[in-house]
Amino acid sequence: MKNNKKTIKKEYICFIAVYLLLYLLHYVGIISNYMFQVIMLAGVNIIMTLSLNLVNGITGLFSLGHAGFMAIGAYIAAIVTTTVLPMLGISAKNFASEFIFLIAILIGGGIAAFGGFLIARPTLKVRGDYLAIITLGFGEVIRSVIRLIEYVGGPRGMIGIPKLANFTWIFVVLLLTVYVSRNFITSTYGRACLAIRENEIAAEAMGTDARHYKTIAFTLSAFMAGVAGALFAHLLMFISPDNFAYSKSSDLLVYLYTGGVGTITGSVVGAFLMTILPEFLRFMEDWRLVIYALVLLYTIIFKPYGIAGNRELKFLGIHTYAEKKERNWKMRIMKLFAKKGGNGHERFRG
Amino acid sequence: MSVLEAKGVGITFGGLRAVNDFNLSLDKGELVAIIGPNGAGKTTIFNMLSGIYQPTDGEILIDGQSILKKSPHEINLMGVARTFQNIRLFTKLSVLDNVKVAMKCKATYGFLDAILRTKKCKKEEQMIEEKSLELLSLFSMDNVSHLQAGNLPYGEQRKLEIVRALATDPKMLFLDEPAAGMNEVEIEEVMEVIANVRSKFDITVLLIEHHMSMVMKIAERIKVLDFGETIAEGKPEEIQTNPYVIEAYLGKGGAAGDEIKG
Repeated sequence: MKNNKKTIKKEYICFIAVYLLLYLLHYVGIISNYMFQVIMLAGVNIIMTLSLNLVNGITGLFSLGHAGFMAIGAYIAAIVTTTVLPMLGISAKNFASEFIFLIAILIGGGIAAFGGFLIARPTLKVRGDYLAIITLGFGEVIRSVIRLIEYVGGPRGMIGIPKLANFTWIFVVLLLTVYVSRNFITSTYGRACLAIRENEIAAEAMGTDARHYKTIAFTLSAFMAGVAGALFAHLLMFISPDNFAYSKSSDLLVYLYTGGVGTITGSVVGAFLMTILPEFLRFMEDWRLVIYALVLLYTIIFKPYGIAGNRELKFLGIHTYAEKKERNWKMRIMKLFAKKGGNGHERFRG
Repeated sequence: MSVLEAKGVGITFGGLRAVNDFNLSLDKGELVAIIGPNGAGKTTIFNMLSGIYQPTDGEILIDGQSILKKSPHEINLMGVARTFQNIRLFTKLSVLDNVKVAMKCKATYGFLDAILRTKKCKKEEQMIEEKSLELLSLFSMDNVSHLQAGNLPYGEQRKLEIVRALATDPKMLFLDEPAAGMNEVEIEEVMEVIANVRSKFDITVLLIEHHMSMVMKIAERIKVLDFGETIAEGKPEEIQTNPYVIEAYLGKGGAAGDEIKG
């Protein structure tokens, strides 16, 4: 037990070191203000990807509507802070404003979770492609509804949101999200979700109430997405419905699948790299999109389990079966072009 | 009193009558086998008994309680566990996790306990792990508990399905062709496992099997199905000489029961 406690502490030191390093690099000026903002956005994206991972990776449901939950969280939290803060006459950043921000985040997450619960109950009967289409539709409905609400600026977007989110906030929430994801995955809840992903009929026959667990996973995931949205709104100080378009959901899928679907490490690595990468390629101008696409192609062909290769960092304590290294890349390309199920000769016949 | 009772159960898929007027009564601790040619409706019966299909008519009772309109997981909690003809393991999870998933009903901690990883959660998780390993060791599978279930050899996968079913602490175990695709040596092993299950657990077993040699050796009672109809029922010796059974398996004018003895 003692030993265990010591190793946990080592990880904490690591987190603090990363936090201090990024903070100092920014303070000294090595990381520019702009780059720092991108890093914070990457943090928000990581939270979103972790949220998506619970649904797409762990439970095996394909959601294309996570930007919708993010939008709910962002708008609700922004409404809370923009109405409550002036009401209490708080203008400067102080303890009270931080506290209200925390409440706003929780309300944003909570209402997003409620939204998730509401659409989960009836729709989780369908699976696969159908669920993907329903969630896609849900995301678009949310966006269209927001466009119609004049109170939040309609299609022009919402301005004047106080900048309450900072690096510390995002870093702490990110760590909490990792912690919650880890605990969820290694509990009976996570195992039930994994079992549903692997084989729903067998999971049901082993006494797992599939619908119940799917709803829980979906609701928790929506909560995380809502929290990420709240941070997003108070980081950019401006949100518009177009921030949460379908393309946002598909970006998240790209992060998840490049990093490694089903793993926490993969979600973090994928979201961070794919948010930062375009910035580093900025000198290439339009070519950077080509590079971006090539990176995607590379991962899909050569690393089907993502950059993290189905591995988890040790301290998470989640056992996974890491992807085996296949050194022979020629074989891989041959495999790629080989006909599925055939022996490769069939296509030359007749 | 019988633990399971099926009265006049039938099911229709579109225009096809898959099972008609099926009656079964299982006594506690019995081993009953259902046999029949391919497409006779054996697996369909299993799917109805475990709640995957809803029978079109008839009544199924477990301990006097109707299971119609109940979902598979509810029926499992009533004490029915099953295996599948085409193995349905959680292939990407470890052997241990496969068993742990089924063990989950013994955990009482709630969602917040799980998320915050409270002491209660940790303690129960440890208990689940110990119990799962204990169960695996009964079938000498504890040494492979860390392997990915999908990477086990075929015979072991079948065995793991039985162990996983037992982890739900059932009163009844339904085995759907546990010896499918196995050679004689492996069939011996399966029979050993089943004998092991019956000696260590207080359990009623319902078995679907094609291997006559196995069924004749271990079953106490046999039901024979053909085209959804029950054509014979009785002790193994009676079934072996039953003319209807021979006809169903070998066609009219088939050899006198030699092949059916296996």
